[in-house]
Amino acid sequence: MTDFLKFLLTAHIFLGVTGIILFYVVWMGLLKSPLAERKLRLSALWGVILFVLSWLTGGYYYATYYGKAVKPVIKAGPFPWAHSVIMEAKEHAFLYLSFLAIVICAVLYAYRENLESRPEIKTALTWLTGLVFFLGIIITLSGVVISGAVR
Amino acid sequence: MTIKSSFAVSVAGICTVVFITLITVLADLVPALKDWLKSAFTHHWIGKGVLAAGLFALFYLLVYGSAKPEKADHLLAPLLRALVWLTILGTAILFLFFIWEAYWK
Repeated sequence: MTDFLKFLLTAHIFLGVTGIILFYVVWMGLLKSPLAERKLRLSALWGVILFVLSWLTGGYYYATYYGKAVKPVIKAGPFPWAHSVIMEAKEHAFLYLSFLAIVICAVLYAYRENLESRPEIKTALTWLTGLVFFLGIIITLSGVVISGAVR
Repeated sequence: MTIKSSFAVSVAGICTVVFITLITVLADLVPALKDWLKSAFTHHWIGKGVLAAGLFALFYLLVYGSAKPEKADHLLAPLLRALVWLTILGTAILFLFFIWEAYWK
């Protein structure tokens, strides 16, 4: 693996995990009252940016290197399911994240300073944000399994 | 960002989650579709991402253009709940599909 690809892989993980942390901040923030609405908006906005950057960095690594150099190693090893099930599911579930993040961000900006007066929307948004956090955790743990299967 | 915008984004999000789930399963069941994605976008996964982003933008514009603000506000919470359930269902479908494909196909 070239240094550039190592950088991209590291960036993908760092950006993705930081994005997940930011959506955890949003989720926890939505559970509080009163809402720190500016903090929630900024956290969600940065979360969207980081998820998209994680998508781009990971995507380049995946499309140019993983398929020809990593996938065959995993499939030939003792844990072929790490690719056939975990990586396949992860790489597609990952695609959901940026769009869900944009929805959360959009709602926070649309209802700025008014979200507390809309409890139904706030509750639904809280569930969605919690889901993004947990989906992010599942995706991250899937990445750990895949990395382990390569060794 | 307006209420109408957040409504349009939520509808676009639902359509995109459904699309990603469907195209992932279909591309593995229909080799011609996967081949087309590879040839058009250099990699099937890139194709799915690009098409998903394009569809998201398209649905946003279509819905934004036709939505009424009062209705948008009233429907937003049910839409967000639907998005939660569809994402959970989509994720489960993806994992179960790839398990099936790895062991029983």
